[in-house]
Amino acid sequence: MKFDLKLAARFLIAGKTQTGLIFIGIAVGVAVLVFLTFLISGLGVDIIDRTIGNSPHITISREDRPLDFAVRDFQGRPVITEDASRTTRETIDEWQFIINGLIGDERISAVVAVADGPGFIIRGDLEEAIVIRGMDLDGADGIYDISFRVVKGSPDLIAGTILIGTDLSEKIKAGIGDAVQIRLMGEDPESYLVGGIFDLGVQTLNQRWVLMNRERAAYLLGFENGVNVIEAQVLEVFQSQYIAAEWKRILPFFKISSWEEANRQLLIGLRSQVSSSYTIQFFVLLAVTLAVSSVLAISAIQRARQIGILKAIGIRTKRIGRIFLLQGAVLGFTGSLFGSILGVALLYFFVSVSRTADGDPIVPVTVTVTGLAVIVLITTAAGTLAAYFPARHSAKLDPIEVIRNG
Amino acid sequence: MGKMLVETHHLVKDYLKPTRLRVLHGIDLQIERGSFASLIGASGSGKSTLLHVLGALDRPTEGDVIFDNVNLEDLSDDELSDFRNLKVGFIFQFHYLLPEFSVLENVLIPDLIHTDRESPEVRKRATELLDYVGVGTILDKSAGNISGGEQQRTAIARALINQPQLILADEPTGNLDSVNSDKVLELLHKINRELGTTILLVTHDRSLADKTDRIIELKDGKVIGDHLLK
Repeated sequence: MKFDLKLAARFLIAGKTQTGLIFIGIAVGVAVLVFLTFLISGLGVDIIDRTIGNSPHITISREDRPLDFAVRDFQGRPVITEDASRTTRETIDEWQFIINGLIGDERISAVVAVADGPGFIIRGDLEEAIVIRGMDLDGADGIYDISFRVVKGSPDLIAGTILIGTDLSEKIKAGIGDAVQIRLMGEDPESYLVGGIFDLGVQTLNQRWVLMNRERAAYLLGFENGVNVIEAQVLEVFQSQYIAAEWKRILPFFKISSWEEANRQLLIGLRSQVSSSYTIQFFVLLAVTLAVSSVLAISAIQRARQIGILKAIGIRTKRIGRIFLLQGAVLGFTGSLFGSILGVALLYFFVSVSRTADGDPIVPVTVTVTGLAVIVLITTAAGTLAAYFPARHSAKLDPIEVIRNG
Repeated sequence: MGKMLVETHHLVKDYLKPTRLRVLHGIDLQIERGSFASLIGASGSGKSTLLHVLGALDRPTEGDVIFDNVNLEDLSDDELSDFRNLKVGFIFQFHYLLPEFSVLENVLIPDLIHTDRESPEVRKRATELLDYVGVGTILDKSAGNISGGEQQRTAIARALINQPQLILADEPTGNLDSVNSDKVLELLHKINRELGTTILLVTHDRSLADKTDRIIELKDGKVIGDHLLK
């Protein structure tokens, strides 16, 4: 093997120009591969983070039941609403037991129990429909990162205070320390102080959500046992569907949905992006493979004399094949190693020049050693595979032909 | 150990392409251990083909080659490769050195094929062989950048590195000037005399053949004369 490797290396060195060109070809191909792979993967992670990074991946609630509806007057307009007077709110009695189970699942990164229901917020003459969300700050931070997203005031969800979104704050003209009233449909209003204003980065949530202490929200919404929704985030976002299905088997009487079910279009988009990345990777690899194969095929013809004489002086047929496979492997390995370095350099250059006004990268990119190792491994395998046909051709060469023809 | 190193029994060789052509017509031959024989004949008489069959570069269509009591027909392709590597040394009209390697490395190649590692002992033997054939001062030169005479001497050293029992030389002086031809022939005699290596020399030059111990004459694939000179 040592001698075969030496022969392979000498043949490659002897054809400097040819070897140099194919080396550059592989390096450029792999650089493109590395650049696109990590850029597309960074883009995907960024899209996922922006869209579902601060939202629950799995939601557990009671199975839907037919609701009673009523047509009511809202600021002079007729609106169809759930008839609170006739609907029993389905709460999750065993929520603490379920929460403990979810916390014990190592695939799940954050869990929060939520008392959730519709209501109205009133300040002076202004009244807005809202969604009351009662939760513990620790749990809320795990999913929504509330503490970080409070732009004014304090994130503490203490009794008697609420957190409202930036858009709602503007609509009802309420700032920190201002008193507001919250009421449910058909019930008397209760007074709260605005303790903090948050910006969740989604206009609908900033307009509609009112966050408060879980116990307080449960009391307000009339939940005897505390919550009606459990929300969870998972470590591997694309596993949420399977994890949800597993929990559905454990909790058959609950409605358990994943973000993938609720965001089909987003999922299709993300998967298309991944598919396009694979397609590009496939064609770049194919180009590298064909290039290596064609160059080694030429090399096999050019080295026919040497191969013939090596066979005449006793080298075994399969070792001749191995010499060409080694050439392919050496080209693939060294070319992809250099190409990886080039690709990473390009990537960092791209990240350093494409930044937002705040100085953050437009696409946050994370280069992993494992990812690079996989690319080097695949390219080396492709190079070796590419050498198969030239190797086979060379191995079949008859030394007598070479000796006869000089 | 028998007296005969090589024996052939009714050796026939046909080439099938482009049309079926019989090149060797039932050759029966015996080559004595330690002898220096020559094989002469006109172009197309079958002498190179016979040499290739004797050296296991080609298989006969019919008949047997018995080398040191081993019938080559019984050997697999890999075993034939090992046979060529260890038992036979080839010297061709063209030197067939690998230009990618130095003079010394070229001589080491047959041993590296066999052992896959370079040993100081073999390196020493290669250096001594290159000295012996008269090119000991150009060890590190590229094989592609030396004269024709030096290349052929290097090829002779390469043929000797694994201490073969038989050297098959196919027109080894055919590409050299008269001065270098004489030197190469003298060297082959020296090898035969001092190392006791059996040599079979293929040539169409009667004067060269006259300097060997025995002349085997071939015509149209048949032995038409076999003369002991010494």
